[in-house]
Amino acid sequence: MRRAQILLLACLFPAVPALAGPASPTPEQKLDEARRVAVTAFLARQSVEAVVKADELTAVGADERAGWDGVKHLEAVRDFLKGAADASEVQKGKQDGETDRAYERRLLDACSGLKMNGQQFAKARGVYLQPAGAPGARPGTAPKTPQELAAEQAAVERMLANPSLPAGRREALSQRMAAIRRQLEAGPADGQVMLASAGGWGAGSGPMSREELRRLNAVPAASGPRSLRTGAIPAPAPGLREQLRDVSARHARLLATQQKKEGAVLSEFEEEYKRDPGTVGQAVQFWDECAARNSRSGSTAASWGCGAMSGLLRFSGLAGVEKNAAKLGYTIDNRDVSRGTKLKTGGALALDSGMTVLTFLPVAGGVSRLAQGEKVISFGPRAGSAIAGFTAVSDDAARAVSGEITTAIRTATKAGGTKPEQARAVLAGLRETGKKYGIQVAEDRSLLGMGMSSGGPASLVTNTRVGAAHEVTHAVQQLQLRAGLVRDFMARNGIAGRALNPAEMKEALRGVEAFERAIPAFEQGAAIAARSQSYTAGLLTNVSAFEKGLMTGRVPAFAPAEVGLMTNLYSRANYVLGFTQTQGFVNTGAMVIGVNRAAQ
Amino acid sequence: MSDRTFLAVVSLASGAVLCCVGFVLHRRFSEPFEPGGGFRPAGPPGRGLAAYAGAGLLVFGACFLLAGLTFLFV
Repeated sequence: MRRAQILLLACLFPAVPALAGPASPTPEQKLDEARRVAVTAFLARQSVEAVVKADELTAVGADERAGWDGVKHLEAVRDFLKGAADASEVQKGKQDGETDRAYERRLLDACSGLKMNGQQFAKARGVYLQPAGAPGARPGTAPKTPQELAAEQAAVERMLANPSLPAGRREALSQRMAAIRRQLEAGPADGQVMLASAGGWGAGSGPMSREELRRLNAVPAASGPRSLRTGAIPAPAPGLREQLRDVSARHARLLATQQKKEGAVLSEFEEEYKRDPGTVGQAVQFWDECAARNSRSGSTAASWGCGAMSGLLRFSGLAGVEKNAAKLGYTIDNRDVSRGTKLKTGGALALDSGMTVLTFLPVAGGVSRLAQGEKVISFGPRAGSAIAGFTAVSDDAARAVSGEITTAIRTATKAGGTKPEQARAVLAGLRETGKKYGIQVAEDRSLLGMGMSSGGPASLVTNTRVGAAHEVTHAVQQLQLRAGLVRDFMARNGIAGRALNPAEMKEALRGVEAFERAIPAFEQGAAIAARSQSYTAGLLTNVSAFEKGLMTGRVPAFAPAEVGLMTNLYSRANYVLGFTQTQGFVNTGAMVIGVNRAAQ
Repeated sequence: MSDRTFLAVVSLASGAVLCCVGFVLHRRFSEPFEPGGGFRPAGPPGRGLAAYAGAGLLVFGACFLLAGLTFLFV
């Protein structure tokens, strides 16, 4: 091929689509265009009914070949027709006995049905919501006689002369003015077919029905006066409500067909999945069968064990991941399955993946601890074991501080009262003790801080809104630790009669973090105090245990009888899973129990 | 837009939103230890739950993101 020919072909290539003529509009584009035309007609007070043709909109892309796209398109056409029908009824004016508010609501429905924007809506209000008898009043109530039209023309002129008239209103009034002018100048045109209402000319009860027009056409031409020009009036096209009914019925039929097709595909998948359920699915089946077998043979324990394994696999989300992945793979490119179903399956796949990750997250945490040097997965330091990185304080310092705190507790709880009241009184009493050692103790009543006794290096913020007895016990523990360290530092360095400066405070409180890693002791102590019959006695048990802990540098110990199984589990869970996860699990569990109780 | 692309876009968008919300919640409400020591014991409701929910949202959001990438490229 010669170079010139290649160049010519290259030049022509981009022009080929253009030569094929303009692409035919898609059903969506046709619908958009129809909506634009209907809105324009509505705002210009022209009949919406005359410009909307449902047949044209549903001719293409609304049958079985289009599948779910067809359902969606018919749905859109149906909604549009509903809006158009509403608009057409608004154009007929207020119904008998209808209030202004109800009419306005109908107008609003029509505007939103036609998907008008704010500007168009404002214009529609200007066109259709005029006071009765005023210029531009709604059809049916508008003045009809030339005198009335002339009066309206004068009124419109006066309103247009107002320079501060809003733009939308001005445009509507100008249109009305043009219409009045045309009406006054032209009058009824020769040969124009005038529409009569069923109740007679100008009765305002709507155009004649199909039946009335049929009867009218049956009247022989010769029976009318000679001067009257008569002719057969074509039967009117189906009204908007009729078209709407038709499209709604088509939509329902197509939807049912598509749902049937989708159901067939999904049950085909279920059959397929039953035959080959995948690795996890097989494991679930195995444990289910094992549970059923053992249940039949009367081995309850074995049956429960197998059931638990099956439940774990299901709860972990693993089985869901496998099934939903298979389902999505089976349906993703199938046009008989709706986009919504695919989206639901994809969402379920992602959620099940999340469940799986969350289930195995504690394992990852354990592995990370092992990688950081722990030899086995630790359940927290045992009572009496040495606290790494913490230097014990002197016996004198520990005793003196616990004595001061004991006095503060006894004084505060002397007045009696409920546990939360006593707890708040103790916290107030601790403020003075804290001040002595340069440690700030504050009460928090906020909602967000609920359930916390937050300990900074030299400040404690305890929320007493919920579980005050529990949280204030933590405040006692936290203050005892800090005050003991400060007192010991002062004694060792011969500081007396003055507060420590920030650098000294930092140095004195160096052991706080190491000691507070002894989490089970803190949680066990708080549970004991909150649960004990006498709050004072519960707090003093803590003070005594922590005094020994400070003196020896070992994890504070409580008597085994004081620490129940659940308290122990909760305390250990705080260490193994961390505060956040433990609280999450406990609270989720509490919510589930609460909901179940409420449901019963 | 094909179903596959639609699914991918929706998954990526929802994953991104979930991740952002989860990250903010978790970062805002969970810091058991302050620098230099400081103990925040667990109690009934409150911040811990918000932080936990944040962590959960973060994980679910990441899964949605990964699922979206899978729909897009596989």
